[in-house]
Amino acid sequence: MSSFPRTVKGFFALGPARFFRQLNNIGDTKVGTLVGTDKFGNKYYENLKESYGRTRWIQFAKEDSFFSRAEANASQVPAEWHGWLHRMLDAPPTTDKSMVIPKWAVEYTENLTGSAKAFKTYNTTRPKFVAWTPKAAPRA
Amino acid sequence: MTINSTINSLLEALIVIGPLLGSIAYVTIAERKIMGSMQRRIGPNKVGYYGLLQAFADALKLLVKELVLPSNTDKILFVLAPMISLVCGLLVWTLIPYGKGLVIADFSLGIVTILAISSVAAYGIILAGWASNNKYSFIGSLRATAQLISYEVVFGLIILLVIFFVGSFNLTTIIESQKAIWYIVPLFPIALMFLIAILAESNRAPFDLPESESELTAGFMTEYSAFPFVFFFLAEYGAIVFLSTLSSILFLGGYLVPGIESNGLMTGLSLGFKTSFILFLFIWIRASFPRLRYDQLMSSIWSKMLPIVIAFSILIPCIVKAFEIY
Amino acid sequence: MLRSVLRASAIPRVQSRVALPAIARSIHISARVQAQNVNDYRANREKFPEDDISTRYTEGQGPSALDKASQSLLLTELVRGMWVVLESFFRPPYTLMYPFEKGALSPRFRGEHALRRYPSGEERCIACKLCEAICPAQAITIEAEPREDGSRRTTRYDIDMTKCIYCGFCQEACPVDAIVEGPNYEYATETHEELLYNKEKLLANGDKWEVELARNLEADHLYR
Repeated sequence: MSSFPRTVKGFFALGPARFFRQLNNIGDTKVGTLVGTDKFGNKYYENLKESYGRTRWIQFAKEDSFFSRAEANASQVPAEWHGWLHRMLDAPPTTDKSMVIPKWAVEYTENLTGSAKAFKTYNTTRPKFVAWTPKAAPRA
Repeated sequence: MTINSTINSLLEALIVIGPLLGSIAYVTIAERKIMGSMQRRIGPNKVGYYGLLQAFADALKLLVKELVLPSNTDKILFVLAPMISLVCGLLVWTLIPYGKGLVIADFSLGIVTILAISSVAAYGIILAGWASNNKYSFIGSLRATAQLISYEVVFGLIILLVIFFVGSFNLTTIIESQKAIWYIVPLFPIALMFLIAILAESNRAPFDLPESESELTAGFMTEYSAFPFVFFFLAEYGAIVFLSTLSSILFLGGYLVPGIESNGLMTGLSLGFKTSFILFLFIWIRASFPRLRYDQLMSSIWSKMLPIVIAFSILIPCIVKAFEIY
Repeated sequence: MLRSVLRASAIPRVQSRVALPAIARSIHISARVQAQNVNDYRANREKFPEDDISTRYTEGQGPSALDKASQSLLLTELVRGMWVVLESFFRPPYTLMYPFEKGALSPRFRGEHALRRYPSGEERCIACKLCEAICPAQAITIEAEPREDGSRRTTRYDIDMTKCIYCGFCQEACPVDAIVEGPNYEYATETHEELLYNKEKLLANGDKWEVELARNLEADHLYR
């Protein structure tokens, strides 16, 4: 939550449009510097003057508005930004030279449960029992 | 003529009850937000900006819930009990002056009427406990009754002390007599005791034994759901707001603004601010203190507060007589 | 204390010839124990200087009766308690606004499992079944066969994520760093079936999270 002065300060620093966008999403007014944008359009912000644990945050590409609920989801943070957002890494992937993305890396997907693309388990071995298919020998 | 006066009195009642229900809704939000801040959390913040519509979401949820009438209950009393509570809780508001002359029923025995109505309100709790046919409800209502009766003694005596100063039972007169000085200044220890007494009267922490969650689930409200529960809830929070208003009338000069001769909106705002301050105290105390044990509750009233109040009720008439205040 | 209790229990039940009723006897015994404790305490008085009231307050100092009475009447203790609460009221809350702000994670965090690959793209797992053997919840099932090129590979690598207790023994046991527990914990599902991971799902997890898995293993390699 924020205090009343913080709300007022946020309103003037962010402007009315971003102010209400933040209230519809984070529920707080946070002013910070834009660190980067990932391939999905999520924006990452940082403000080291925030209280401990609240210094880095994300503004999802899919945002709630006053009239509609978007499908914003915590698992939409791609693997490159995940470590930075969880404060495992100091440097964001935009400046991090040591981050190596292998050639065979696949496209990041969010948690798809509940959708048609949800993971459905299956057997990866060859069947151990094969049904008998009767073959009648042609009669002479 | 008669139709006009009926419409008038209906409008008067609506004008009082509407904002009252609104204030009760926002007291519940304020309680959750303030308790949250005091415990370094944020409280409800998802329904409406900063959680400002949470109370309406909760009320809507309660209203669409199924009305459960448990078997083996006394159905008539079971439904009647919350109604008694709510009606008594709303009735007392007719006697509150919101400004000079801004009162629905300006009885000369106003404060005695308040005491009478709040005593009848105890029947709602007793009947609820009896009719529910449930041991938790029954124990809860017994506790509530014992607590109400005990603290009513101190409550009444403290009001009597103020009456000694004023010389009138009329609430407007009580307020107008505080133009020179609010009674909290000469009667400070008494005001503290009044605060404790109204905490106990409204079954609030740290005196919330009738509905102590950890032992009695919800006390006399255990079997209630949906509408009847809403009635009890409104009655309870209405009582909290009412007792705050009453204590601001008795000790903080009611609608008076210090140093300014005011009327209309100013007086209402003044009463509102004072009441809000005492409501904040209620919530602050709830966030600060653990619940009293039952014997501590009883000993603190009968063997500590009552002797002090009786001592004051001898001292103050003597002072009034000696200096011939009126 | 203990010694005196033992001594008390050693006291014969009937002290005098007149047999005391049971309750009176117990009172009698406990009174004796108490007297013994008091005697011990008095004998060792100099060991407890802070208990000596005569040294704590000299004559004319300390709170007077009026002080005490006014303090209890004006509830000063309670007001001090309330002040502490009010100080917290004016401080910012600790709440994180999840999912916009997230909690700090350690590189050792044990979340969702993944099967890793070598930089060439070859899968690491050699079907040694050490993870299956060590798994205390028996959540892992492995079947192996030689591949066309003759190398030993798994045909089945199933983890029942609803059995898994996330102890991390599988990644400890793995000689080739194939099975790891990644940093992801946001994989809750709506059905049970979605949590019965097979080899393809685990490899896909590895491909998805390799960027971070490699970083985390590197950050922790000095301690292994």
